[in-house]
Amino acid sequence: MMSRARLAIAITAIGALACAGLPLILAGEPYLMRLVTMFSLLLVLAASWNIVGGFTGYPSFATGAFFGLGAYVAAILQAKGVDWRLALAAAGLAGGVLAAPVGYGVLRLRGHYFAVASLMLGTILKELTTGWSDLTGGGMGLTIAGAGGDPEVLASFALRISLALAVLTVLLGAAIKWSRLGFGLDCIRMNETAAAGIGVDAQKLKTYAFILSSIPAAVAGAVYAGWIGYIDPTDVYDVMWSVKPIVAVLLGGVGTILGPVVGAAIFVALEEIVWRNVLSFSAGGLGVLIVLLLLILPAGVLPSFVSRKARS
Amino acid sequence: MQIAQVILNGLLLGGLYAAMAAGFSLVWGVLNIINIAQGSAVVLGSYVAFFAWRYAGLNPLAAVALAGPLLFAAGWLLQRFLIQRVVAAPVLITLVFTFGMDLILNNSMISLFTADYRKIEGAFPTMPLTLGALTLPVDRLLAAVAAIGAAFALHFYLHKSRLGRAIVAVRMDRQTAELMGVRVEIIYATTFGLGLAMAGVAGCLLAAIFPTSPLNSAYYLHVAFVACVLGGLGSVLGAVAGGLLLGVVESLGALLVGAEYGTTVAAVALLLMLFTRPQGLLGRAGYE
Amino acid sequence: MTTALLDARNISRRFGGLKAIDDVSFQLNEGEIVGLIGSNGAGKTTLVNLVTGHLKPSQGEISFRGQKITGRKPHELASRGLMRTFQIVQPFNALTGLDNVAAAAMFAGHSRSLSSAREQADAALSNLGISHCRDHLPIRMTLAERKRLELARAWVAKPRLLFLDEVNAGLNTGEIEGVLGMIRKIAAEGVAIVIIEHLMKVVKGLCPQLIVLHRGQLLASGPTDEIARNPSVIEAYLGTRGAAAMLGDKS
Repeated sequence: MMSRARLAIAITAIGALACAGLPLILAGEPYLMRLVTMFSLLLVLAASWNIVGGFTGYPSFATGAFFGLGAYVAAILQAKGVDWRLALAAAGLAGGVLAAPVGYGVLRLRGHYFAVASLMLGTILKELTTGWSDLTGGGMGLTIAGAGGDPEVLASFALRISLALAVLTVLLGAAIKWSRLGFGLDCIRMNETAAAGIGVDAQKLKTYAFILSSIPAAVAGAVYAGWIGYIDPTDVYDVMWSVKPIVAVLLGGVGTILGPVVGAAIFVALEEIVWRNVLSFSAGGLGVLIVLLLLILPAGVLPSFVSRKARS
Repeated sequence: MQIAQVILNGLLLGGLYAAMAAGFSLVWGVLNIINIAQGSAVVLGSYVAFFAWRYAGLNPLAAVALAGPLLFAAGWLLQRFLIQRVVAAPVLITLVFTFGMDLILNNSMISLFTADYRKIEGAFPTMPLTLGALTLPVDRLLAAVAAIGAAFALHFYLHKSRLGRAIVAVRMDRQTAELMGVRVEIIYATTFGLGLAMAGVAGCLLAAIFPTSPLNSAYYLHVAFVACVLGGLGSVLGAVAGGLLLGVVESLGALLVGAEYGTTVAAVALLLMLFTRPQGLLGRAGYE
Repeated sequence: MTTALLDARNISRRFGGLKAIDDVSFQLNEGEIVGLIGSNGAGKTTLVNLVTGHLKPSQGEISFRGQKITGRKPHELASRGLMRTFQIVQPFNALTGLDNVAAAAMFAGHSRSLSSAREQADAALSNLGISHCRDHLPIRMTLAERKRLELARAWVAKPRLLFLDEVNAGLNTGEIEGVLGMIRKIAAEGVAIVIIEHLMKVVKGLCPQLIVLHRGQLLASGPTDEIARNPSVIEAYLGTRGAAAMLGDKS
């Protein structure tokens, strides 16, 4: 029990230090600030995906759908003059509200069926967003009000918000893993029939996990929208927002608390290297990375004993 | 009468979908793998047909004989030496793996051939046939008939040939098939090769009717998956039925709610099918 | 008249054209041990699936402790005190023996915290004689140990009624003796137990009451001695004279 408390305190302390210190240290380094912000947003998505994909064992490809939804909710609200804090909260709420019925339905499916149904959620939202152009600007996209200020201030602000959100999401993952909910999700992942046999309400717990995972993803989308200042459906509903977090978690270690942190860091570093050298082949480079990763390091970089130790 | 015309158009479209879905379904059923790269493989087939037409004047119907074996060989090698290493891994791993392959293939095609939309002009006769009040575009009819013909050829190959029957045996019961002396890796490689070959054939025929680009590959993948589930996993004929149904659903959807919501309409149809009849039109229940 | 612990009335279940269970009614009382017997395909496991919520009856009503439970989900029944084991053992493969049992204490047994769930699990493991499996993963246990692990899960959940589906299948004689001892221990706590079993010897030694299924229908139910003398049971279930002789061997 002690080690858990220590890990939680360590995450909080390091996170708080990073939130307070990094914007100061990186001031005047726009490239590094952008990199750390990207890392933080990816970490949010990775840690939230881990709740459904890692703890529960359901291979979700819906992360991008909630990311895009959050981006649009926040952008539309801010365009109507709503305060950014409220807009972020509303984005999270929208993610959770959509996740409840969707999760309840789609989590009845398993394996490939679940994976592709979750993948289609993003495509559907993209079509609906493009179609509802009165509200969303359609394919032309939306410019976020308030982004016209000082770019340095905005960059520093986005960095702090995304770092804080990342820390909170990692803590959320830890809280779930160590809770009754997490124990139930473990049972569901290993053997859903047996879980039902010992009184685990699998449908309910899976839906909770799906909702809890969708909220940070939606808030991350909202932060991204405010940071970039302009969104359109092909950008924020890109399937890459679903796939990159999965690759990051696979890199770090599926179902572990710190796996997403390690994985997101490695991923962003690799992406930068690939990006700089072969810009026109960046997606293909990611493909090569995925194929090599799964052939060479199927268990991820963090050794798998971390996940087993966490419970004892 | 407009409805009848729309349904006819849907069936013609669905013929192409059937060919896209047939190989995908086979690979899913036998290897328990969803090949995310199937859509890009269709586009690759289109390129083969496109360049064969441009540089050798080869008709897309004849290009099938080129693209089929080419993609078969590529698929066979890929499966034998790469995918085989992860074939028994959990769904998440195989999905992400084939996604990675798709990124490589798709980005390579964009780098080599650009993302421009290309179509083969003038290979098929374009004059329409009229049947009473219905119009039947000959080029589409030709493509649909050829595509469904290819799917049926695959079906008969699986049921009549020695290797095909071994594939079916592995799908039904891998362990027993192994005991009977079937070499499973070879069967897997052949199956994956056939899956890509069907994608290539579909791509050739598609290129004669519609402009294609690597940007469309995700859509072709979506078509293959939805057709597969609608028709029912487990048989080539299920994929054909699903492809035709999807074509009709999309055409009716375009008429009723607008073509821009095509994926949403298909997804709704898919979910309805999954929750009311999970085994699909012709399939058997219970495959994950 | 007191209400029965479990009351199944006229339940049927069809699979397509086949009637797997056809108009079966039976009652179980608090604390009793009942054997559910019948030849292969008689519908024993289907009946258990119907009562424990893994299948929905096409017709009929089931009540448990006076409340209607027809169509309720397995997890809900488990937390209300109606549990089962599976013919093929179903452990959680990445949990230790202790946590396999603690999970049951937590979700079906309503433990408030993980530490209290583990305390109960510890006690259950030692009660069932598998304390040495405390820190092992199920893959390292023998089949007999895994069967006991399932019994331990049922034990900590403190059910009122427990269905044991072929709990002895695959065990040798010595192991069966051990498991039967465990079942008696659980029954001694006042848990009603239904044992689905092939081995007549086991059933006769353990169950004062029997329910006999034949081709989806209830053929007979009542005290074991009476059932053992019932000619239609002997004919339908055992078929041959030799088996009939075996049944009658005690008298």
